[in-house]
Amino acid sequence: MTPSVVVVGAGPAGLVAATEAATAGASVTVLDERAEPGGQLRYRVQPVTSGIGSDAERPDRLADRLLDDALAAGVRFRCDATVAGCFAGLELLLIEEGATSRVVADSMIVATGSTDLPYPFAGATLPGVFSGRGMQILLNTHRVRPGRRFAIIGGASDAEELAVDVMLAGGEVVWSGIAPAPFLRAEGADGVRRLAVGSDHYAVDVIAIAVGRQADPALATMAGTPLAFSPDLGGLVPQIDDSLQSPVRGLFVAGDAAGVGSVAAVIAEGRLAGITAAASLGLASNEDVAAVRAAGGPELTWRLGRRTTLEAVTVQPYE
Amino acid sequence: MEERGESGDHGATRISAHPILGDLPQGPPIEFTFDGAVVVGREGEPIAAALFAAGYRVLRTMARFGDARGGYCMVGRCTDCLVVVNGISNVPACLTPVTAGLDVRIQFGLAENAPEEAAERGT
Repeated sequence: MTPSVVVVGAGPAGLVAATEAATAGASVTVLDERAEPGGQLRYRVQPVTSGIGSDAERPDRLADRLLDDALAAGVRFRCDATVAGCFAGLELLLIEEGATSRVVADSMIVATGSTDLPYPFAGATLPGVFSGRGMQILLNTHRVRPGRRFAIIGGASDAEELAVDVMLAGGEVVWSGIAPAPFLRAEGADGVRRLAVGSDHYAVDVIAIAVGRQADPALATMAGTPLAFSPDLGGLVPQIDDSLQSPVRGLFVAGDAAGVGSVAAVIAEGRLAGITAAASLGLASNEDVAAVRAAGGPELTWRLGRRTTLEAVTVQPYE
Repeated sequence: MEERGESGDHGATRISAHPILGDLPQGPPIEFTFDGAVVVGREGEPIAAALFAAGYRVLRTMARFGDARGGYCMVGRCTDCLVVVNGISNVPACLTPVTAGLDVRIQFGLAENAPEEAAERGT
């Protein structure tokens, strides 16, 4: 029987991991909770560099390209399918249209991406305060701008990208920056009207929190993968080795779920996870794995290098 | 509530033209109601998107202090956008597509305003 691989998450890392494993001869299924494969590439609009193809390109077009490659390699997709849990033996609990089923495979690649970091401050629960990625989904996927004047909390690339997205959508960025939470206060009765930064007040309609992202390896953790802390990789990350393999047999983690990185980095890492999973099933050689690793570029090498020194963190159970 | 039933002055709008994504494609209007008022949505979009485009901001209130929430993550994680849809409570407005004739209501606290569930509980 053909060995099977299940990939959770149809973002850039999951798509290339699936293609790689299917090309090596595995029977591959990709699960994704959204209606359409592509992950982050579906709600971002500014050109990204993928490391495959020389020029930066529109994220949705890159998603189409990666999806076409996966379909051509024989990958099957189950979209609108939420993985709600993972049990012993890599048994997945799947929810589709309110009905549950189970999925079991010989090997599993967790490519579940990242979530926005929270940044709690006074008034941050008011209507009109959104997460940065939520705002990108509203602006770019749904084509809705929930106000005119924006404040963007954040001081790095996610905030910069969102500021440009807001301006592309005809919005006005009134204030953008980072301040210690006690100095920030969102004000308004039943929706944001003002942002106070220290003693300064800005009239705003929307506040977006884009202070950065964190890996979302919950599924790998549920399956028994320990967590490690790595400031370089963006905080708590799954403790996998430099072949992306979890201590849990048959389990691999790739892309933002393993540590937040660029699109090019998560694509290179997805490819490595796909070929490593195939090799673990006897479908690829160590030379094949080494070739993919060597082609991954400097950011992949750097990311994998960070993994060799990770120490697991101990999580105290509730008494 | 200052925002209910009005488009307000906060400049909410559909993005009809976009320098990268181009013009918003035309589609058949999907009419539904929010607390009884008619709202026009676009085919395939979630309830929350249609409500924000129409200028609404408050989607639910919290049980303990009654403070308002209006959606935060837009990916079905945060529970800030739970509304009552056709008498069923706790429906995530950010993920549930608009369909013609939906009866969408603000969810107050623990959704005592969800009639079908109240009927099931026998209260």
